[in-house]
Amino acid sequence: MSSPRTAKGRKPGYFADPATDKLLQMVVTLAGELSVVRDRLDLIERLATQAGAFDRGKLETMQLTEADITERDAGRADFVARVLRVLDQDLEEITNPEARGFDELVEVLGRKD
Amino acid sequence: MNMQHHHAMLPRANRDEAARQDFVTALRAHMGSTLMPGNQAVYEARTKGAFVAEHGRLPANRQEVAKVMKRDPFYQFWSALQRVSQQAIWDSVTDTIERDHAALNQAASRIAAENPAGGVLRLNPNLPIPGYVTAADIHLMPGGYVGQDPAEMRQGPLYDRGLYLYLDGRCGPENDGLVHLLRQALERHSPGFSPKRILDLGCTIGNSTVPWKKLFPDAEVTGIDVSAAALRYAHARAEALGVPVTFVQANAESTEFEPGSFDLVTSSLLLHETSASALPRIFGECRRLLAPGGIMAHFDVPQVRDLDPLQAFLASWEEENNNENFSHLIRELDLAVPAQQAGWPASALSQPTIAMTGDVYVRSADSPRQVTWTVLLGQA
Repeated sequence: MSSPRTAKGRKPGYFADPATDKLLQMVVTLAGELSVVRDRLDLIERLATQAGAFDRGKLETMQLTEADITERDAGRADFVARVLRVLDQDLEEITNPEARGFDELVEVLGRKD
Repeated sequence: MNMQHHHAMLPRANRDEAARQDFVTALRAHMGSTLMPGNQAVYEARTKGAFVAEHGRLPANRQEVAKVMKRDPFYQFWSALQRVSQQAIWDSVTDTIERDHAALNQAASRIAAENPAGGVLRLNPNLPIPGYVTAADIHLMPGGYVGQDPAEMRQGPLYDRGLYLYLDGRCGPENDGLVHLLRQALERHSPGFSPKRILDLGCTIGNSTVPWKKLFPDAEVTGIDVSAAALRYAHARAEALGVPVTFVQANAESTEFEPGSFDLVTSSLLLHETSASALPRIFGECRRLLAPGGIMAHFDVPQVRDLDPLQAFLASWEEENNNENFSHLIRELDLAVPAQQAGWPASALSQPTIAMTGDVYVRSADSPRQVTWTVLLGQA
């Protein structure tokens, strides 16, 4: 069983266009992930410097293995899913009958066909 | 900055999860120190004038302030960011729990088996869960206090870590600062009062139960809650902290304890998460459970009765946007009224003033707001 990611209850909107609410959430998530990367990069640079191994030139010339590439691809896919999680919530409202009204369901089904 | 006490049951964030938590903490600190005061500036500069232009007078209450503030782009961004950052708190902790819940469950089982402090856990799977707990996920914590699977305890660690991030550590390394504020009020009311049997209502993870046992080591301390997930975690957490407490799954409106079983019945931030009909029942149950001379002591969200309309409007944010559905009623309510409905004589009740202080609740002098907490004491 996985943990729920959406809270049950009111879902207030804040802007005239609901898309703006979603965009803001994406922007904040992106800013958070950028902050995570900066923290991590900072650690790596400090460790590498401590070890006397930091060399900016190697960033361009390093050869990646197949395993390296697979690991990096998976990390990138996770990153994208995290940034776009707000859209999963929309899908959850479509697939979870308790999460939206009947009229909305009819409207959504009509739109898809 | 991560100052929370790393007891054995606290979820262990890895480096990236911790970085996400640090980011959301930084975001909320910026919002609190820089953006929140902007609402006052925007009100003075723009929205108050807009209201006056439309109505020929100042806004008379928070509802009228709401009409103009909700149209203002600055308030819209502040409010939306507040909501997004609240969701981000839970998301950041959920990542850790998703990755690590098997290890957390193992730690809980091991601690429960060893039971090093000698505490007790008594669950009642047949207990009906009140609607005010399940209607919405309070504080936007996905799954709420109860969670989806009654055999799981993951709502407990989620709440423990999320609460610390929400408060930015202002309730101390064990999220227990409110009890120390309440204790001060109790000591002023009855100097030297030394209860032997203490009951903590709506205790969730026991963060306000454990400190009572620390303050009164000779007392028998019991915490009750309706959530089995919260209590499973509360028990393991208290054992990990080495503090023997009894946790029982029960509803504060009506328990199975004998009349006169306790010298102190207390709650911390429970009342605003119940309902208008539950309040008199809870106060009535306190009266039934107290021995002669015993005291009930309730601590809850700050009052807004004396605030100007803008501050009252901003204080109502939690109700409309953070699923604290009953909180504004409590903020405007004289708690003596439901207590008297429950049979408490007015002469037995008092509502001492506790303001935020620099030493317990507010870690730094970063909050210019002086708020007055809701406190109700009653002596049987």
